[in-house]
Amino acid sequence: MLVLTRRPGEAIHIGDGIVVTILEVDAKSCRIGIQAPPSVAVYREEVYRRIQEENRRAATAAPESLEMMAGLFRQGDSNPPDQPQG
Amino acid sequence: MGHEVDQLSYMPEDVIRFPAGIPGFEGAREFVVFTRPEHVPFHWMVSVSGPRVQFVLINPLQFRPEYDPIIPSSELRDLDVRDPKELLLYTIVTVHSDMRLSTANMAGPLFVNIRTKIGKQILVDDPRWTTSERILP
Repeated sequence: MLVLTRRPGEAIHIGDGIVVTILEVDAKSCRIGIQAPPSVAVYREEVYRRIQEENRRAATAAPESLEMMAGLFRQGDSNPPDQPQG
Repeated sequence: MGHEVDQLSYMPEDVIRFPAGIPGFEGAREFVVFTRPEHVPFHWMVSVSGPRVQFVLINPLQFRPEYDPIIPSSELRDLDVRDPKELLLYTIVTVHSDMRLSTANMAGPLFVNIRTKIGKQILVDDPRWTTSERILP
């Protein structure tokens, strides 16, 4: 990993169009400003990981119950019965 | 001229590009969204280039009309929205074999600009909305 020392107000350029600026530093945290083109996604790591994990779960889920679930929605029934009726 | 993925036919203008990718599937950037009559109000989103990925989608307002996540304006800027009408909102559904346990990812809604055919999964940093919100009561 490349390690650089920067002071508040100083920045780092990464490739073409990404600029990381150190805005504010205190004992426990630092504020960082990031400029990047739209094709570069910038996220806090923990938020990104949560979404990544849920996307993977969603993509591998077997949707065999989707038709039944859709049927419940189409009935316009916001409180489907707990037990089969009839 | 039309294209096909499995039994799905689509036209080039149906393709939605996700320039920033979908977290977890960064290689898949082009998708089509379609609806099967038996699955309404759910939709499918299937990749048409790169790795094969498919998702089930739903408009979250269908079951949570109060959904109003805080979205940083910088996120929407990338979508070049000129009119709110050109923006579609979806959430990705994790379909569970016990349908009552199925959830929608309300912390990562998908926004699609139907004019530019550009989509983005926006990460909502809002503790009220999680990645797994139950769909059925």
